[in-house]
Amino acid sequence: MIRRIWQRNPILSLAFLGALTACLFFAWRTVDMALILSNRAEKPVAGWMTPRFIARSYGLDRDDLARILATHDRDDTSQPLYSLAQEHGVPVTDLITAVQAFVDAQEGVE
Amino acid sequence: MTETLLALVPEWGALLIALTNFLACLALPIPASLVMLAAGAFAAAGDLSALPLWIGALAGACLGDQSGYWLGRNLGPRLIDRLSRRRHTAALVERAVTWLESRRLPAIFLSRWAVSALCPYVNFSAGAARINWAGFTLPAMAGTCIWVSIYIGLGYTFSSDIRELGAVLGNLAAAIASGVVTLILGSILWRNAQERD
Repeated sequence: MIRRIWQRNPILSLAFLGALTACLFFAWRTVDMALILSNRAEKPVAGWMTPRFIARSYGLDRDDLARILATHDRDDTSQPLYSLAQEHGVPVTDLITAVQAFVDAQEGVE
Repeated sequence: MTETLLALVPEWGALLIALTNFLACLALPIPASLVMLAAGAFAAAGDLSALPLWIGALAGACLGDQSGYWLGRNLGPRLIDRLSRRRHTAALVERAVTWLESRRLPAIFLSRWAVSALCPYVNFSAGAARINWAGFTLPAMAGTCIWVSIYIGLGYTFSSDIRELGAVLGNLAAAIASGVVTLILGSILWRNAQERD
């Protein structure tokens, strides 16, 4: 039967094998990523995160965070760390390091 | 690129999500689902409001679907003509068109959310097979509503884990899509092999 399938439609058979391989590959990756998600102990602060997002995700006090980011004099901070760093004229890595240190310190207290 | 795209979400909001969904529905490799997850997460944090995001996401995706459908409707017949010149492929093309017509509703509706990776191709094929406009648009919009709500909703609920969640869902979507393609190709091969010479 397999030979008959192959002889009649070699290209479709190859496409079938390709799709089957892709399916198994992505299924394995899904399980792998899901395990990473469930076992992950910590997630680092990143440049795309906004102050509100950081405060919510890491359970920080918004005022403390605003002091670190020098945004306590403004109401509206729907900006990611990237553009806050650009505004302040500092590298984004400085802001990330400062916030990460605050997150780590907070976790140490808890 | 993903980092930059994520950083643009809180500043551009609904407009960005509409644009990424539009482009993703035209088969361009844009991480639209991650952008929707991020938008949901920023909405949960209070940076964006959820309703405009949902409307923007829906509008972008629907416009993308329509563009794909009309592209298929205009360019598809020529492509089908060319494929039908060879006797062997003509039979396959005819079978594919009949298959799509007989399973129009589930194919269009499910390719929006359950098998979302196939959506651009179903749009084009639906246009090429000249499925009528309302018959395409209604199930497409219904399915898109579900797709958009699932992703924004997941981003809202699991806001702090969106990057990891995006990776899981992206791989899951690819696994489901290739699984469906495997089943379809498998059933075509099986039926072809059982036919008499």
